[in-house]
Amino acid sequence: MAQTPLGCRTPSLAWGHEVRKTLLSGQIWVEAWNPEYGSSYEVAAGTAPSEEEVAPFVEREREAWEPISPRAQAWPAVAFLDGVSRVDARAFLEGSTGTIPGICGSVGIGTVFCDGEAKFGPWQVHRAVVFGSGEAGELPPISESISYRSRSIPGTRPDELRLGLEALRAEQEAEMARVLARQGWIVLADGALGVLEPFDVVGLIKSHQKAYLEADLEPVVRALAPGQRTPIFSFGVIRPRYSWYLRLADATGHHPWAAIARCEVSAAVSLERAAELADLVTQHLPRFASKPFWDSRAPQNLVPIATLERRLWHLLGDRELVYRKIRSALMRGRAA
Amino acid sequence: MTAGIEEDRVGRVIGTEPATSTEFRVILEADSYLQLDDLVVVATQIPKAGEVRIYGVVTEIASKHEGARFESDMELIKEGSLPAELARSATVQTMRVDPEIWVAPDSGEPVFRVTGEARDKALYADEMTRRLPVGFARDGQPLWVDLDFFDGRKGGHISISGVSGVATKTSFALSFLRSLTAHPEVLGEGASNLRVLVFNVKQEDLLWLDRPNTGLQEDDAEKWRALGIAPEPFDSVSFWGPPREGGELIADTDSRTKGVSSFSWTPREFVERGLLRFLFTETGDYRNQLTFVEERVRSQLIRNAEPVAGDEGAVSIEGQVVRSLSDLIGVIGEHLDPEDGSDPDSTWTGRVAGGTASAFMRRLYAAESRMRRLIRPDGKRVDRTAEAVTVVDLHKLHDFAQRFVVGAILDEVYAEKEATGQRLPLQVVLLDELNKYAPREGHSPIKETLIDIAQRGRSLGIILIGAQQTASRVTPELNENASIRVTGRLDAAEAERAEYGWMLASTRARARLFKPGTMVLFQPGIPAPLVFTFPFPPWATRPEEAGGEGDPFKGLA
Repeated sequence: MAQTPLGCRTPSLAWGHEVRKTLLSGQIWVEAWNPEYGSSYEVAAGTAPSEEEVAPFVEREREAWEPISPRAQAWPAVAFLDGVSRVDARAFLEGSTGTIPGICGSVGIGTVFCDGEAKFGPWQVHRAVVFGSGEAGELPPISESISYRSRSIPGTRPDELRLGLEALRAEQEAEMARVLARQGWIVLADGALGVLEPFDVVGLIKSHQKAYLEADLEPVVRALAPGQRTPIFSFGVIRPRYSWYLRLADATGHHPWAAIARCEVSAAVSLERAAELADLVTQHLPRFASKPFWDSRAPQNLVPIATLERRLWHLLGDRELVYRKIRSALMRGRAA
Repeated sequence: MTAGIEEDRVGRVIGTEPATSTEFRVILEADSYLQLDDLVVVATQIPKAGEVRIYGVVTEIASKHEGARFESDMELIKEGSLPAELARSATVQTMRVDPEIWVAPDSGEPVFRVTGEARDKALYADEMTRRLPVGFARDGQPLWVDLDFFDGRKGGHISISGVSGVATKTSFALSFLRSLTAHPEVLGEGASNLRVLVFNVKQEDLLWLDRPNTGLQEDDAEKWRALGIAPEPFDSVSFWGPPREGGELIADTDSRTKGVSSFSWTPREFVERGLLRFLFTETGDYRNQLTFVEERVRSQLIRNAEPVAGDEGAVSIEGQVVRSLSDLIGVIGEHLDPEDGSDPDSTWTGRVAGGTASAFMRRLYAAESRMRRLIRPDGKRVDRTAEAVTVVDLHKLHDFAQRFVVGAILDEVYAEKEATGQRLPLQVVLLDELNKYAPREGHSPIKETLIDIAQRGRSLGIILIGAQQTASRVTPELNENASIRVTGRLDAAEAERAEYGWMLASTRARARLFKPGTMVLFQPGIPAPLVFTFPFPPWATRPEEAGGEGDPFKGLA
């Protein structure tokens, strides 16, 4: 091999390590999602299964644990639910123990009703100023339509502050889910939900960070055809849930977990109801799956959810404008 | 805040893009609509100035799905997975601001369809002291023309353009005249002794103006009443046609003979009035020096003319009695084309080349057969004072003779009014095919007369209602001097020409789609052109439609 400018004899030495020749099958896949969104499948090989006491055989015994084609049902009145959150400004509070960092954040939650026609339903915007170290500070009213409620968290790190804002979003989403479920809607929420009551509230999880299934059951997920699901399994100690995997679209040519989504519903509902909901969702969600040209997280980012998310971002108001208003409100407060 | 206008709210001023003082857009409410040409008003609060009302006309309508990004999203919306909202909007062009503080309406301000007093404001009708109803705007309410811009006080003349057959140019002109004669209180002092001269150039369409139309339906009759006009034909009309060949003076018309008089000129009038020049009206005649020869010949004829005792219509030229066009051509020929083969008489020809004199004579010989029935010793000119409306039928005459008649009569009108120098009584002239009589290129005596009328007619009380297929083919002086402009359906290419610069881009774009009876009106008092319709005529336009005299409703169910 020709001498390289670095004087190395082989390219592998130039990279500082030996190329492992022990690739499993040699097959390489490219994630269908836009790389900026991470990956739909982030379960590292060899990771131990989730420690949330997964019980895989609640619906089917081990020998019958195979892809299920749902019983056909009519599409009922379904409300898609989603929320977004945004940091509008970073703030500091002169507290008793020094300068406390905080964030001004906005949370938007809303719904799309799909019962033959897709229509935007109710929406809310909540704004909060979150300070760490258990301290709380009040912001003056920013404008006629913008004001920030005070919130406090024990931690001080930026990601903890962000989680404080996320907690607000989760609370409000759960509250809206309960209201809609009481009105008779089947609620399909984006992401895991904190609804523990026996409501028809199904959470849809787009990407996979944890392995819930034992290694010998995982091939069942890979074997799912579009519109099929796995049998229901349960997990969770604090929040017991029923869950299942389903395939939203044909993923020929993509990695084995492409187009796989996981759904969950509170284990407070009966197993029969959970199975009904699982069948319903598995049968009908492929209809709502997005196409790759349409969304960077296709197909898991469903059309109503993606559209709702864009609208919620919009309803939070122009970020630059909100930021400017916060600053001038504080300036005014100081001058007064 | 918006007192008097908050009756019919249709939407709000869009703020995602700047609204300007001349144009803004309106997002429409789900249960309202606006269409092109609708009139709207928006009130806006101006710091230190108070409320300003902005009136406008709708120039475009748009509709789109908000929330859709791809064309195929329509399928997702239809099957119920993609939520999208229908956004319907209107573009409005400002017509008036009151008080005159030129500002843009604030974004989000409510927009109302105008009614009642606000509508009058939008149309400047509150500023028109003499408003004549001429048709209906899109809202079904009357539309007016400010007569100050018609009868010469502030402006004059009407120019009507549009494709033949579907643009209904003549129908509109007659509707206008019908309204004018039905509303003497609006016209005022000009109404007494108002005289209208109409040239009929196509078929015998206009020979039935005094007869009711049996095809008139009750709803059209109702529309005429809504304009304050009885749905009846013109009540004072005289009809004139050229005489037939032969000894007797009988008008050469087919469908109607009763009540049609014949018109012609005596040889004496022909000479004394210098009508010879109207035989040389082709655009090439000036270039070919024929008009130069004509001037010499005309002055020689006048110089040598003597009356003939006992024969009023005849004239004697150098002692030869002239009783026909043929006689006259003979006299001229003796000087220009001597039988003995000698050179033409240069006092008559002005030393032009021999070929020019010959060409001059050839024209006269050709004119003889086409014109002879119009020049006769017992000739009788059109009497324009007998009735309010005088219809002169030209359609059976050769093009050459048509130009002669139009030229001779217009010259007479102009000479008479010029002699009195008075604006009153008003003389209205309705002439179609202006592109033939006053083309853009070349010189001709008719064109000169028409330009004189266009430029000075206002002060002399001669008002021209000119019509043409294409304004671009008519000499610009005529269009420029017409205060009121109207077009019906236009050819698409024609609509893009500068002559229609007064139309909005949106109006131009759909001018080729106008149905018969739909037209655009522009008048100086209103800065935007308005689309309007006028009702079916209550007078007959064909013999089959003509009802009996004295019973305008005969034939109606």
